[in-house]
Amino acid sequence: MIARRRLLAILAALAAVAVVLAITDGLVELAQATVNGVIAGNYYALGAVGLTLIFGVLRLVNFAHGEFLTLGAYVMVLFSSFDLPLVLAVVLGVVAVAVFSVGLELAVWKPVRRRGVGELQLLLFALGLAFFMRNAIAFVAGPEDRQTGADVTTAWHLGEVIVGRTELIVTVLGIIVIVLIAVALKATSLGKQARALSDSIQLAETTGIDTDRIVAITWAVSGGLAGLAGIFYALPAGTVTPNLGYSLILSIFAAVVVGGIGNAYGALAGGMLIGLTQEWATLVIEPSVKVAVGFAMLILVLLVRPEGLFGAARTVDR
Amino acid sequence: MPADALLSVRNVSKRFGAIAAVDDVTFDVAEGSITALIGPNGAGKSTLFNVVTGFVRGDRGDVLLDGESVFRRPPHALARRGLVRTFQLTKALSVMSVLDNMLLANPRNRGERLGLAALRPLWRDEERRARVRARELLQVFGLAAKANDYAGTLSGGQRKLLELARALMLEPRVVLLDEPLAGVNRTLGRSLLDHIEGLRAERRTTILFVEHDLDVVMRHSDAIVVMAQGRVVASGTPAEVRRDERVISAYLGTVTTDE
Amino acid sequence: MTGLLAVSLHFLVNGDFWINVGVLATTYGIFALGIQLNVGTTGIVNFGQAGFMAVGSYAMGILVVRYEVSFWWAMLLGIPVAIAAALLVGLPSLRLRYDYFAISTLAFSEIVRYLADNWDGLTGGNLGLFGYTDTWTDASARIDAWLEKIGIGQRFLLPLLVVNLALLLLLTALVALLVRSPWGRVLNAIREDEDAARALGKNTFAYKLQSLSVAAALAAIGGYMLAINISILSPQNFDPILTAYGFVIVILGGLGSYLGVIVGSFFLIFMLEATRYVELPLSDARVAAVRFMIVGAVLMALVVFRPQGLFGKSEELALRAR
Repeated sequence: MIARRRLLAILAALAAVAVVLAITDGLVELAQATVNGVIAGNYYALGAVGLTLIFGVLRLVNFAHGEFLTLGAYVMVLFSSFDLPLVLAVVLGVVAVAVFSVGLELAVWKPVRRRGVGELQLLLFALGLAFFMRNAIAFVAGPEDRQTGADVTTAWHLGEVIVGRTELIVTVLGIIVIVLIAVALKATSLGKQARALSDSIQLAETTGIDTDRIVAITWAVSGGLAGLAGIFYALPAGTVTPNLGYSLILSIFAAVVVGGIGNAYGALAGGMLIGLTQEWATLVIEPSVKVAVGFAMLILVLLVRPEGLFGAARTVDR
Repeated sequence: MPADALLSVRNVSKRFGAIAAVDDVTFDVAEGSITALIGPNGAGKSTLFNVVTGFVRGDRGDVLLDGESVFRRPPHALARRGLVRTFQLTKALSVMSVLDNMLLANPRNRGERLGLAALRPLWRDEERRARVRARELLQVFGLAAKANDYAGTLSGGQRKLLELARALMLEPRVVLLDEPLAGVNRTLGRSLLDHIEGLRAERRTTILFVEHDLDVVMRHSDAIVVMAQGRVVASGTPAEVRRDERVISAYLGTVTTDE
Repeated sequence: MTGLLAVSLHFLVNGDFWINVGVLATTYGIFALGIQLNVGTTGIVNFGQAGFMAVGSYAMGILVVRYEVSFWWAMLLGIPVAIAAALLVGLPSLRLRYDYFAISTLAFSEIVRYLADNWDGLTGGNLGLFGYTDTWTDASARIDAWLEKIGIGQRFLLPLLVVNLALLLLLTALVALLVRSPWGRVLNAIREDEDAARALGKNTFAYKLQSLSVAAALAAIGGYMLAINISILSPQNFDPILTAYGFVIVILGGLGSYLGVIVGSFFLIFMLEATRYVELPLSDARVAAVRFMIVGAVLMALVVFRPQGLFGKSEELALRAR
């Protein structure tokens, strides 16, 4: 699914930048930044895959996606506060958001689409939903930070590079999940049907695919991945706030756009790219501005190649 | 390039991924002629149309309008130079009145400039002149009674007429019609053809049209260009093309006749 | 039962309440005029209007406070700055699909807020930028005196209301005039079918850029009014919830209706301000959360159940169905 040559070209470019940074800032700094970049890239990628899947199937940019990250993190914190084992709390968090997403599809999105509401209206609906969800979470849980109860202190040293134990675990798990999803998209019958819908929903319907079912499943996966992304972000961070998802969503948009919309591998690549460039940028500029780097990449890609590095969908009104 | 060719397509190519939708296409359209572009489905006619009119960016080649290269220029620039197109799925602007549709097409209204728009006296006269011209054209096309109705209330056939009338507000030198008779009943079709021939006769407008009804094509065009699989297979007068074996095989022996 | 929810309706007869509503409604009304021009008339989805407002306000504030430019000149110069921002955003992103353009403008808006927060030296950062209101204070005093003379008397913020109202009516009339002109006709065509407009010789990219620029200028003016009202500029004042407000106003009043913007803004602001008087046994933060939840819910409900707004014509919507 990915143009092999393009991938190699990007890796080569990254390697070149890495070499330059190693020379100017030192190998250890570079290594640390790279590790941090991959960690960040992991939750960006998880969020990006969910967003790109929904766009692929429904042609909808889900502006409320960030709030699913927040929801996942909060549900996990809730169950964790009942003294359940952390792993169980994580699973419950993911499942909760997946179920919520499907519920939303059945109760809200599908009827609204059936009404023939226009695309603009759907976009505004998603925006309203985002504000509603974010503030509903703030209302229910309160605006203060809440502890996740995860281990944020244990860290491992690879030479002079520091990696938190929790960070490492969630990153490895996250990447495994994304690869599994990408494989599932390619190899399973469900995945093939989802890709058929992405190409053309009308065509898919005529070939007998139960589009409603696929859309619902896509929402479940999208929501679950978002919840997971929020959880994997929150665990190493130690705290959750109602703005968790919102603070990440624009970088996730950047990852989706850079990677190319509608492409799961692209979302992974985009997420990693955004994560890496942001962390590498801290070697050169002030760390507090690193999010701006993600924005800059978003705008750069929109300028140069709006369909993203690996995308196929038409994003330019030609 | 023949001296009287107003529009020249030279070695135009366009690929979509692995598919060569248009492959090294070359032909001329003589000034004041009615030229038809025909070919089986998938021949690349629409893509060629879109490349010539600037809606799709061609990969290679050139398009010359009266000797001037207009390849890869944006559609609005071409329209201003006198190369106007219509669409197979008519683009009548439904939420505007028929008259507003026509006035929109007027290329000379200073009121369309932001700096002058708020100062009505500066563009009022031009608007009035355009209104007169628009009503005349609507009269010719039998739409005068509908001038103040929303274009969305027009029937499909009336929309085709509006699209043609609107194109004429631009005083084009060459009009590219994308399947003007598609989905149109016989009476209306005859009316459209009369208008098209009228254009050629009265205004010496050059016409290039894509059409599937071969009977119409044979009877009403001066020249025909046949495309198949992205390439030009044959070109010439209707008589020449009708006899050309390559054309017949391109259509696999299916020649549509009027029902 | 009575202990749970105490609503005092006294505020409805309190003049200060209405003056406050008026000031905010006129400010957001001008803000929303730009959104209406973009979305309702041109069909471009501008999610970054709050960013343009911030650019205008901060430009004015910085010129007055850091460069000692006169207030009037600062306001005048802020407009081209906002327009420059519109060009900066629009040039790369206006040829994109409408939803990608929305993302782009939202990103721009957040970048502006981000810069305002971090570029302390210039913008005062989180602590805020203040000290630009002197000229206004004088002008306000003179308007007060005039109001006294004609018998209306002095009330807090009344001068600002008078100015804002006049500006709102003037700008609404101006924009309505523009929209009814041939320029506006092209914008309407672009909204419905951009390819048709291009085929008719219109450089639609340029028109969309112009629409965005006018909206940015309007946002800047709204920004000045906001700046005067709050006296201290800080990034929190330009939260993206403003964009939600703007869209609620535009949809309430009806997509494409400029009179509707005035009605919609008064309606929304009245609801928002009136709910402040509902005494709930909740913390301030939670009350704020409820209010924003309501805004989100209203946007959702409007879009689904009454997309043509309070005054829109449903046939027009049917003709316009995307």
